[in-house]
Amino acid sequence: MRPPRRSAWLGAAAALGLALALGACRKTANKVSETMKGYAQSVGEMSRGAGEQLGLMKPRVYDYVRRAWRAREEPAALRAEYAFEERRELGRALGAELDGRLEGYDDERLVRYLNLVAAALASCSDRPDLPVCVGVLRSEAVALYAVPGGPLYVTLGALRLCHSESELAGLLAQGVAWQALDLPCADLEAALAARRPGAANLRELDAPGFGALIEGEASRLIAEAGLRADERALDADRAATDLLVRLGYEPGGLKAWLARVQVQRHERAGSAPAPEDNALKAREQAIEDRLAQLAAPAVGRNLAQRFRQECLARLPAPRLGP
Amino acid sequence: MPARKRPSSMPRRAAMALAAAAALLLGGLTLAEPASEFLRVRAARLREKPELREGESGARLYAGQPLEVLERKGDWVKIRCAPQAPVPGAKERPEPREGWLHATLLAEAPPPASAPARPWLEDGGRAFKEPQEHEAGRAAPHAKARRLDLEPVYRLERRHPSADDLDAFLQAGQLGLYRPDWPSQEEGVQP
Repeated sequence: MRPPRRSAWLGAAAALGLALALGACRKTANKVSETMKGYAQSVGEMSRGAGEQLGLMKPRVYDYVRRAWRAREEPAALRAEYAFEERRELGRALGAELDGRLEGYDDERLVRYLNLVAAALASCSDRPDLPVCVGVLRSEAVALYAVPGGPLYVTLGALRLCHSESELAGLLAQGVAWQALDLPCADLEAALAARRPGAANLRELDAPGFGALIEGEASRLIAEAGLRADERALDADRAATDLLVRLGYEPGGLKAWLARVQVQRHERAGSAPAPEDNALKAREQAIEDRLAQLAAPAVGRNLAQRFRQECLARLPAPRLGP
Repeated sequence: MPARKRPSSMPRRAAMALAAAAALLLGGLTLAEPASEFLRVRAARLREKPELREGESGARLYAGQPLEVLERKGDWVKIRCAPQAPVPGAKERPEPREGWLHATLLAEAPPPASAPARPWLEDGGRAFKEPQEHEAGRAAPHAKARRLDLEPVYRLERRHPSADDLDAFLQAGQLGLYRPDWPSQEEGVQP
């Protein structure tokens, strides 16, 4: 009689081979499964969207948050050619220029509050690693400046135009978005290219060239006062609106603040429209488009009372004169 | 008395072989690489249940920490955080724990691996606790030549709030994870 032990061992060996093969194929199977899941989700999303459009389904309350998160799934890539310390040195030089020309305003409680709002925004941005910090400049011009490496400088004039924490968050979210999209460094590179066509990069500038570039950039920032409407700035405005939605602030905070800037400019210019108004209109339109895409609700937290206590009450009386 | 015929051991051995095969199959599948995701926000608390208002275990996770996905339930993901070296400055040691996180907090890839970013993330947002004043850097000579003061800039860099302060700020304003309408598939707060 044939011993049964042999068939048992053969069976076990076959099972071992099968198990190892299945284990090795698991990764491939996972990929196939993920792909199929992706297709199924796409079909599901399309069906749900059609159902909502036809009024057959009620939109789920959290959809706007999910859309805000998924709108920018890929984090903005950090430019590899500059190390963080190099960026920080650029930002320090530019920050010292701004602080020297416009004079800093150092109220401990106010600055702490502004930094909390900015840190909250940065923590839910696509670049939560950015060490964003906020300083205040004693200027009545309405402006927000972003310098490489994370620092933002906001003027007293810009803070006075905010009426709630959501509007302040909208203002600071612009700066966080500029940092996340790496606009401060890109602006410096553009300024370098304009000054020295063919220059390789910011790193290879000699000391006089570096000084001239930083001084020129500070002058440009102050003259422009952050009221630009090029495509990159509009991208940043859209990203800022996303940040407000993610955190739970009133999504139209930035739009409301920009509208107030526009009104102030009209009042100051009298009947003649200020040349920057077109830029403001373009930015408002970009934000409006973003809000429509997000299908965001018109409500959110505006936290006006906390803003009055922590910010408005800490601002000095406006200085008269230019 | 006739000897009783010993029953064949074949079915028993076949059953053993099948059991061994099943064990090997299970082992092979277990050895396959588990799905990993990463926290996309700076820090988050793990929850015992997939819902917002209850079940917060208090265990804090930090961005960049690899998380093994165990189960998905609607918008919630059950994860196990892998053991790793203690986070500098963190109150809790990141021991392996299991719990639920909202899917919006997770990303498939870790945050950008720029060299100084990681400790900043792991230490609740303060990689540069004491930013160094680089005499050899470009800012100091520029400031000296222009007679500018760099001290306000250095002071500003140290102004980043602690993770606890930020957490309290969000909680007081019902923002972020503390917002009452934070989404939940199964038992979320209705509008």
